[in-house]
Amino acid sequence: MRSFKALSWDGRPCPSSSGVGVLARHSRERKDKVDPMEALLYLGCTVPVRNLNYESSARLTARSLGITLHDHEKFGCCGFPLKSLKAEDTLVVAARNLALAENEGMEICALCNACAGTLTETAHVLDHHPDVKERVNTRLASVGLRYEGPVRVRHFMRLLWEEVGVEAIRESITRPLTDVVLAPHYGCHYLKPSELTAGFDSPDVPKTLAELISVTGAEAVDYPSLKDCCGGGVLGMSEEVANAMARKKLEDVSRTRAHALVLVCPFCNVMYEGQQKKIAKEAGLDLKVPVVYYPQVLGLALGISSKDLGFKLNRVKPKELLDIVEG
Amino acid sequence: MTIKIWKFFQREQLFECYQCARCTGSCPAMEVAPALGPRETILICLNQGHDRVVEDEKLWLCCTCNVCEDRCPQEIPICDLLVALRNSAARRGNIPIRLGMAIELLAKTGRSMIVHQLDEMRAHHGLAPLPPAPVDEVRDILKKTGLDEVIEI
Repeated sequence: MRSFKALSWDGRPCPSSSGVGVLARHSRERKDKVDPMEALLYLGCTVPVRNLNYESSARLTARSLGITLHDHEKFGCCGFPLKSLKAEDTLVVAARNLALAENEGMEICALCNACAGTLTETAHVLDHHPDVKERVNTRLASVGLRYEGPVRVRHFMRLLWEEVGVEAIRESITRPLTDVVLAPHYGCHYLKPSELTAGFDSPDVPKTLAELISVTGAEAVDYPSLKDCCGGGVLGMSEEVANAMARKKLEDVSRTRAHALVLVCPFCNVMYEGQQKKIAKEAGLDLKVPVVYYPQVLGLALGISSKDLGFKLNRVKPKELLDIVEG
Repeated sequence: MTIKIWKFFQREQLFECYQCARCTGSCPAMEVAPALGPRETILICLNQGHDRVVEDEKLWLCCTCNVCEDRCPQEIPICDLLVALRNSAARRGNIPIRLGMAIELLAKTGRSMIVHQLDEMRAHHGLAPLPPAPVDEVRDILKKTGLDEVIEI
């Protein structure tokens, strides 16, 4: 297995490795892994506040598969919300995090599609446009930071796909999710712009999430609105429009045999889980589509309990799914 | 204050557009709402000037999904155009209220959402408390970049 580090790791410890309390219980030494995989976990604004099930399940599954995630206590906003107001601010706020990661000599692993997208795009812009990089660095100097680059940024799913790999995950499965049917939802910034995701997945025929679902032993179903946008991007402008966008997929998935819709982004979660009740009420529909995060599903297949994976926090209970897996 | 959006986006690139409407046909917001549409936006910019777009609140019905740009056969950086237009709109005070509130919250607290009794909740789920958000640093950066000219922070 090749080393995934974008920069040489100088051995300095990270300022903090907090947040791993629950992890120790699931530590599993994997002697077949030669290169230790390390990354700085970038939680973003939403996950550690509203989606603790995503955070704990990602931490637990990473640990179980031999990825060491370090916390960085100085990480801040990724800059995504600022882009529509002042695009250059996004670059500076994002570059602040990239510079912090560069000082630690580690790549960034993000859980949110918007964070992963914004940080990746910023690194791409700064690495390809020296004039923009200088402008950004002039502003970063006010907080004593500088970005030289390159710093690599990857979504948690991309780390699983590219570094752990489907075969290694298959070997680690201790509780195959036989008879479980799941509907994948990728999310826009997971797949696009394709300039940044090239070589990872295709925006037209995406497959990574479906294959990572299949490797758990569950069946990944296809459905008409697979590639639809959740609408989260316009929630701040028009709830009506955002809900109308999310509704189609929820209806589609409720017509499949799927026991749950599987997400990898907290913004998509706001729409499909957070807004689901409202969408159903407004449209006069009887919608009860359980929404889960991929690491929760993976965690079940790795033998981790639904309690530790935070299933209590899933608002529409994936009862059938858990009944099949845990009886 | 009029901002020349063409400083951030090369107007010449729009001449590559042959109005095939693949962008608008792919736009998820257009499917459910009377949004502006990427094809229409480009046409208005070319024929009537970008002022017409910048003053229209429908400009904000974009979920930034990038599908228009990804599918453009002429490889026009449509998302960059839409971002430049929204940045210009923000400068003129055309900002959705909820977006403005989120940014104010970000500048004041370092987070885009209100955090309440979080440590107990995290502890309950076996997670360590979050370190404080770097609010001073983020605010410094935002002031340095002139965001305070766009909205009050």
